[in-house]
Amino acid sequence: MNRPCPHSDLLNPYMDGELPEEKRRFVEDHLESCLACADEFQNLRKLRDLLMDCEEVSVSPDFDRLFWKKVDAFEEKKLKNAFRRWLGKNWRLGFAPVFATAVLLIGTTFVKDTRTMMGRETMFFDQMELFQDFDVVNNLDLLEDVSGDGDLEGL
Amino acid sequence: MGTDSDIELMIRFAKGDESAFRMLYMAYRNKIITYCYRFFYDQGVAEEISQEVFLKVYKAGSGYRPTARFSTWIFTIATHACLNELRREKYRHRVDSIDSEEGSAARDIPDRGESAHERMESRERRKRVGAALRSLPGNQRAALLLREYQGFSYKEIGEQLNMSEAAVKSLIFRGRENLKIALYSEFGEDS
Ligand SMILES: [Zn+2]
Repeated sequence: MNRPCPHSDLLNPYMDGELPEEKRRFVEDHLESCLACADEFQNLRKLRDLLMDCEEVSVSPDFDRLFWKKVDAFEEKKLKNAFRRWLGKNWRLGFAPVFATAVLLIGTTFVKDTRTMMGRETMFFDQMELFQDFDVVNNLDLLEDVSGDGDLEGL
Repeated sequence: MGTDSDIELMIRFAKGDESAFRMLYMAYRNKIITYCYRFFYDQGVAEEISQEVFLKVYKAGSGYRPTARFSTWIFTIATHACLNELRREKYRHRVDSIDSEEGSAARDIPDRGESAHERMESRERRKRVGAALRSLPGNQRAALLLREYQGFSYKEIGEQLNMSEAAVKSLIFRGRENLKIALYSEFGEDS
């Protein structure tokens, strides 16, 4: 193996176009006179050629479909999270539709019940009249007792 | 390599124009898949990582602020995704089976007047180059791939790998030295 030249560390940045103009010219001159660097530089170029001689890479036919599916899933999740956040801040408003539905349900049930109760209400008032008569009868008994007491008072 | 118009597209996407993202996706899809493929020489892994990369770009959406060339930025995402994948255990189990042709997405370069024997030889050589690249530590591999195939400068690679230009220079030097050792048969005994 050749002894490494002290300037050999310039070869990689030289090949990569990373040297300022002055140093670049120095390396070009140096390569003319230094066999070790010329040899090393040739190897670097050969390595680059080997790397560049590569196969083309194909893309699976499913790649796009799978990717956009992931995007859709992300958008859906984002929407759900946004709704949750909104609900967290405005939970009272969030209950509004629930409350409105409940009121509507109760309302319709109540109207239906009062309609069916209309007939029953007349019966109820008839019965109330009977109760009132019953009271009159009861009161009569009471009056009898009182008259009894009255007799005792009279004693 | 991308242009500054890619930044304009990303800004349009950040403002809600999804067609701008689609244009970026189409412009970079093959480049990113190829980059990831050269990292692992496994199509399944390369495509999985590439989808992760584009999804990250998509998610960055409205929060995107241009700090570098768009291509530097997207390859930074791809490089970190590849390095993360390299760290994952599952890859370590898989690496032994990669030599089989199953995971290969590579197509032979169209006929360049080579004989059947020459074609077989160059296929074998490419396989050796792939194996040599895969034998490199992650950072050396990333630096070399970004330099050789994507043409990024040391400064840009430094931004992508979060290190100084001097450290990148050293990585590339060591990477090439290791490749030459791994491919000694191509260089002869003197190298
Ligand atoms: Zn020299």
